[in-house]
Amino acid sequence: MDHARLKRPDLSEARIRGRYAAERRFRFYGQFAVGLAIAMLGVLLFSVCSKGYSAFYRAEIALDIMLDPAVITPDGKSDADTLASADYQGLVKEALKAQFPEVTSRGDRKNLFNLVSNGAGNSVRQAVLADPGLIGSTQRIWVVAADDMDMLAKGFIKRDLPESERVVSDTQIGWYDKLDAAGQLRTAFNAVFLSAGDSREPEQAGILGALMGSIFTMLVTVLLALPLGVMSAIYLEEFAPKNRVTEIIEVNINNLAAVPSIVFGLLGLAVLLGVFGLPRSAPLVGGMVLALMTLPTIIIATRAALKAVPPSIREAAYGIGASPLQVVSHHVLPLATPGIMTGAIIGLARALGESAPLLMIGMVAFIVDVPHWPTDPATVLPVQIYLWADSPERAFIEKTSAGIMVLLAFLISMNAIAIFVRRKFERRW
Amino acid sequence: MVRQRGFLGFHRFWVSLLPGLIFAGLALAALPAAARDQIHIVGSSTVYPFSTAVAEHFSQTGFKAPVVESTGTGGGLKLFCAGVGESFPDIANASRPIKEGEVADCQKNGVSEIVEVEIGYDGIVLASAKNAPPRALGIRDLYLALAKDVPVNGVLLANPYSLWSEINPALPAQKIEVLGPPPTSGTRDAFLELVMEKACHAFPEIAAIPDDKLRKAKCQTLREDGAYIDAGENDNLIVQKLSANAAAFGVLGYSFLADNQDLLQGSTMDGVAPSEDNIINGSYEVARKLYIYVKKQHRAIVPGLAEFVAEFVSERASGPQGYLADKGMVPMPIAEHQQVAAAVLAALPVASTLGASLDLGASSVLLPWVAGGLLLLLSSVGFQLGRRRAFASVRGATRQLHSLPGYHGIFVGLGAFLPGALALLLGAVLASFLPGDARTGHDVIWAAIAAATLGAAAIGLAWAQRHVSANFRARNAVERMTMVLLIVCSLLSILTTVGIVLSLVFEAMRFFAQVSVFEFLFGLQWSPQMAIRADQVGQSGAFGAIPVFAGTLLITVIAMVVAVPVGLMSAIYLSDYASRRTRAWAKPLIEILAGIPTVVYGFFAALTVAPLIRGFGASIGLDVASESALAAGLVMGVMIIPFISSLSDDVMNAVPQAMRDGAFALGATKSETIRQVVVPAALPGIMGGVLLAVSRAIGETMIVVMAAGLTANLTANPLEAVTTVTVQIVTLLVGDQEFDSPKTLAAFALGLLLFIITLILNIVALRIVKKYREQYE
Repeated sequence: MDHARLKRPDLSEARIRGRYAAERRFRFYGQFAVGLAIAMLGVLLFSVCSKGYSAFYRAEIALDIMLDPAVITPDGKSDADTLASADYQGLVKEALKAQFPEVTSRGDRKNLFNLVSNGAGNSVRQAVLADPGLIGSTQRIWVVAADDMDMLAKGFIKRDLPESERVVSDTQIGWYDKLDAAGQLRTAFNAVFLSAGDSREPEQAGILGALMGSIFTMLVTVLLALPLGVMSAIYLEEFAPKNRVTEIIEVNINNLAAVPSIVFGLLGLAVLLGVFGLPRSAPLVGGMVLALMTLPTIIIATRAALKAVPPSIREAAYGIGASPLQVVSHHVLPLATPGIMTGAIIGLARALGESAPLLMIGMVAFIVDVPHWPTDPATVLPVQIYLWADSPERAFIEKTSAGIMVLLAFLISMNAIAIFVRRKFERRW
Repeated sequence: MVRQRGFLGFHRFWVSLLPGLIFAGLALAALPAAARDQIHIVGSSTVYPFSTAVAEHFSQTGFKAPVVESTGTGGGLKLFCAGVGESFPDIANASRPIKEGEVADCQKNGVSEIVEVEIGYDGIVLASAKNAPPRALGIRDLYLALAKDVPVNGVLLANPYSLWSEINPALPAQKIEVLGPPPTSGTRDAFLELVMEKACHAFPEIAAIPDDKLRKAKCQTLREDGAYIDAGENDNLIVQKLSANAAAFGVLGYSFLADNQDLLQGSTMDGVAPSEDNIINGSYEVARKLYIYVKKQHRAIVPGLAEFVAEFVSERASGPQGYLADKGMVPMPIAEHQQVAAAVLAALPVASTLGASLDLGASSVLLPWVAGGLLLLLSSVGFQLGRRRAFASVRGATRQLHSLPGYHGIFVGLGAFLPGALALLLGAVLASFLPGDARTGHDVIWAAIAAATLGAAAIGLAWAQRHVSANFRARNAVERMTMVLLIVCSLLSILTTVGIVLSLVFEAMRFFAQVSVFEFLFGLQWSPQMAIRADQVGQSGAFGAIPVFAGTLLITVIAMVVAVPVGLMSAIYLSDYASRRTRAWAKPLIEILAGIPTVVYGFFAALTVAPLIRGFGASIGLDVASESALAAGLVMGVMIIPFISSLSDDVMNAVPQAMRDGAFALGATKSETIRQVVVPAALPGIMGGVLLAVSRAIGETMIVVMAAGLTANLTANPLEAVTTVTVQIVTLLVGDQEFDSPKTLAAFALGLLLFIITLILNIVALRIVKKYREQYE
């Protein structure tokens, strides 16, 4: 032995060091992969939030507005209808004229009026409706600035560019600075973004219409996909004889789970709109298409949950004389409910973020009114994001990102509920 | 768990009715709740921003805001011409005049009175990034740069130019790279006519071609070797892409230039700058007219149609100083505008009496719901009656009953509900097939349906009630019914598949009647450049799907190169190395990546990743396309990571611990065990997971729609732009071409092929996974 050791140098130390180094490297690759995946998530969220947070506030301009009774109540009546339909935008324009009396030419006036939003009159209307006693007096009211001014206030428009290359002119910037110096400019929380439907004016565009559309769509999806999915899973898992037909059904369901979502859109276009003549752009149809898409996910999750209920429960129920259907409906199903719920919520979260099939069935539409019924024309959050990404106005870029933030908040809360349900009710047998 | 009382109780009955209730509720919700009171507009994406602006202003005049859909001109006119009545659109936006075939289609479906309204011009500009040197182009330069065949020394040759300076020494020695609209677009159509065709007639070589058709085809065919890049149409993304690439030009609508003056500059065209004034006075000649088509017959159907059109042609909207000009539309000169407005107002007078719509009447809106409510009431009564009768039949000694009284109740309740619901549903379906004019009799029809419903329910109730007796096996009857319901539900998935296949096959057959299957499957060229207008000659319409699938494959491979190593290594680390606590937060975080909507990834890929890659490429001297496959593929890879990681996690966990222990006992380190024992044992399962991920990547739509290109390049270079199957489906279906053309139908053929490929992938993947699982269980 001694002899042998002398002859051959012992390499085992080096080999072990090498193997340990390989071990450490391998471990590092793993850490790196996890780190990379999480870093990508971070970059993605950061890039969205940094672009989108500014949409949650907006520039406002304070104007001394003369609430002229001749304009608001031209025929002397001050009922709610007259007050609501008066020309408040005109009053805002008058106030601007009064603030900058030196502006007289028609073109300049147009530029001046472009400082405030088309919807600036709404703030005045609200003030008057809240207190009709104000009519006749001059009030300082904060009105919404136009999107270009908003972009200027947020620093998205660079002042050092030559005038011809900017959307806002030097005169407009001059007026803006004057207002700013006089303390007539502020940025405030943008409530409109959360309470209005879509608009062509970025400063008046809101996410509520799309949000309601998403809610109605999801409602239809849940109502259809959940009972159908759970019932077919019960049949396949608990009652179906193992034969050729059920095998085909099983393979088929697994395949449907991986069919590209856009194909479901083509199905909706050809069958639901084409054959059944259902209305275009309706959450009802969108919900049906998404339900078909979600169904396989729910079936697969439900079967897994049913499978996880131990046979002893079933046997005990059979032992006291329950019929097969009673065993399932009284014992197995209640115990599998948390698992089913988790699967269903995750499936629905996917449906909520889905837009490709909806492009095919007319949900890519400009809809101002917030929908109130599943057949009202509506769009959904992801489609609204897609539409805004397509709009020419610069200010829509921040709206797009802010829309993404709302959608992500919605999704994350759904996933959080799923995790909560799993943690709270999960039972290990 | 056993709730003896509860299961006798009323609530079980409601639970048993639940599926029926949901369907009945949805069916009722699908009925028109009231006559449509808002205008429905479909059509061109170019006119969309202007129609929406008018719609919004119109809504401030007290009418409900119209709904504007962006379907492309062809798809819009197809919907528009489909018929007269509430369920058809009232107005179609068009970026080209309506074609004869479309008018004939309209006539055939009873749409006889169409009013054409010119609304203004859209200038087409050649824009480039602000930081690029300003350039003066001529239409001759553009023709020579972009035509497929150009005259060189008296002969027509395949376009030899690759630098601008080769065409015109005054231009810089820069690569020719023009991002422009795809063949399905009306903007492209106008570009071909206004630039290419006009310039090409100036060449004697072209003028010498005797055949009219051939000459036009030569003029209007764009080169397909990468100098002209099909990019999106009218979107912010193209603006971003241009501003990030100083060498490229983009063919854009004037409105996008107007809104992005600080990022883009318009090139002068034969010395004339693209400005509003120049377009109005006609000196900037690359401009086309925009139209809306109004269905006159719908004045009686939708309130405010004439008023809406009046708003559209009003001074304050489409006039020279109107708000549409602010939105980037180039208005008509004053005189022309006034002429158009007067003509339109004469054709579509704003008459207050016609505005009042034909109301369905409150009663017929309520009647279906009343019928449904009464049916429910009757069923509940049935439940109570059945239960009472069961009790009474044994004088309260329930032990003598075969089934619990609740089952008798449910039996009788369902006995009333099922026939009633069937009658209601049939009635609703029949009523919806009534022609529009029969609506006046709507109340009567619905009253009849309601009566039939209640009659059927009452008969069913009486029939079921007769069965109730001590020996009647009510539970078995109810269970049989439930079982039928369960079977029907599980057959629905088959029905879905059949529906998908049929809806795809039907349209694909029409496509294959025009294009041979062989050409589609094995053709090496994809360029659906078919004529958009009748007087236009078909260009090289090629429908070879190979390049489209090659592009899909390229992006998928890039995605897999990202996702497989990262996903697999994360799975290994999280399952074998990480502490419980790390695993508890890291795993859900990674899974969030799978939950993020793909439209978000698309936005991220187009606006963040693609410019980064381009910038990086430029800094090391590489030439990267703005819509490189790399950007879309990388982002798609990130999306796929969690699929791979959670699937591999599952299969590696399924490898028996004994195998690991055996490896450890032989002295293997952890990494050796994983590499040499666990992964090989789990390999079939991992492969199955990867195949599932591949099928997901192939079918992914939004990321590629927003970040990948539209040109079908047959290339393996990830830095070039390629297109994918899903992108083509979306572009073909929302384009401006006629809807029955092979172009649109090709979308369905592609969809069918996509479905078949993912089907095969899934079957293979599931086989592999299944086979593997059996080995260790």
